[in-house]
Amino acid sequence: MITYNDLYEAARKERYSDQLQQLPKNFILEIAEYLKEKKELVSKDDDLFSDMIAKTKKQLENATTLFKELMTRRRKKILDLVLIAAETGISKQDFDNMFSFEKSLFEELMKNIEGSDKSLSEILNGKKAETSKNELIVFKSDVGEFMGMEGEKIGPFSKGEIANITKEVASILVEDGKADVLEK
Amino acid sequence: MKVSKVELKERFVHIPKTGIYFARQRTYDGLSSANTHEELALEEKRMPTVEEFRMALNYFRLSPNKGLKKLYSEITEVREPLRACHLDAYFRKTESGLWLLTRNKTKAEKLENCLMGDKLPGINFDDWLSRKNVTSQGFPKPNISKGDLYYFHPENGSVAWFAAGSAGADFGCCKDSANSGPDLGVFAVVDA
Repeated sequence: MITYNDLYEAARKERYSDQLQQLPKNFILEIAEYLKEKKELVSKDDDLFSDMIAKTKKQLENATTLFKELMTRRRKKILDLVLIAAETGISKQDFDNMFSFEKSLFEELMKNIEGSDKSLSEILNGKKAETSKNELIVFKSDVGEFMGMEGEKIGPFSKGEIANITKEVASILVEDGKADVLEK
Repeated sequence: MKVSKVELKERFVHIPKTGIYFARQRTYDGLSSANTHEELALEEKRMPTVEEFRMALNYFRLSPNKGLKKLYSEITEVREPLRACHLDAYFRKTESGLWLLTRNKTKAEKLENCLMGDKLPGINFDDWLSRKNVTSQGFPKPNISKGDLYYFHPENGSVAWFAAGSAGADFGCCKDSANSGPDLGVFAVVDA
């Protein structure tokens, strides 16, 4: 069972160490239990133990503050590790010291960085952004079913209906006065 | 740049029997221990050793002066926000034992026999301040009484700090020397 002093130790060691600290795997669950227990104690309305309840209330406030401090500091370290890992990789120990939800955060952020790097690299190598092959049009009159450029069936459409169709077909419909382009 | 008499009078407190003046305000927040040493040296100031810091706190605690009492509270009171300060103590382990390096690692002396385990909580703050069961270097001896001051024992390659926040006050000797933060600064000292 975790105690207030365990939490104090964890928070202070996280504060004054530059490395992500290793905490017991069940640390978060134990903290949740600890906080729940303290909340139950302070919710009691008992004059006989009012001093003890007041003391517990203060300890609960402090424990909540310490826990927030601890998790915020860990998150900051993980963000720093993401930046380092993107350049040089991450040490096994740093990764092992993360809770599973912190590992997920780390991995998601790494994926985003990799995606962002890939996009940047493509732009630098002259690849143009993909342009849409379709166009959004609104029909000005009813149009019966017709064949598309590759023989596929298109329609029928009613007046006022909006459709997303190939640019070639859209331009024919617009030229014939049967539709207007909705947006560019 | 030498500290002027005016600055000494306005911004520092003379601590009897120590030969130092102690700053009334914490400065250089957000710097690592090494960078703080460098900045202080440029102004001919330095970081207090653990024993100097302990003596200064004890002097403020016992002083009838309201300003010094307030300074004592500013450093030690258990309340928000967290206020932490660097202390001039770097620990290095060799084959001959654990050494205490001060004056920005230029002065080495063997660490005297002190409490080498964490006390959470804690050690007796009053005993520490009044030097009861405390080494000449300012560290609690193994037999110091129990109390509320959280204590983190010296570790190889680490530096010392003192801090007080809403959750408690602590004196620790296991901080990474590169560690910094907006809540961490220094109470500079000047040699008399």
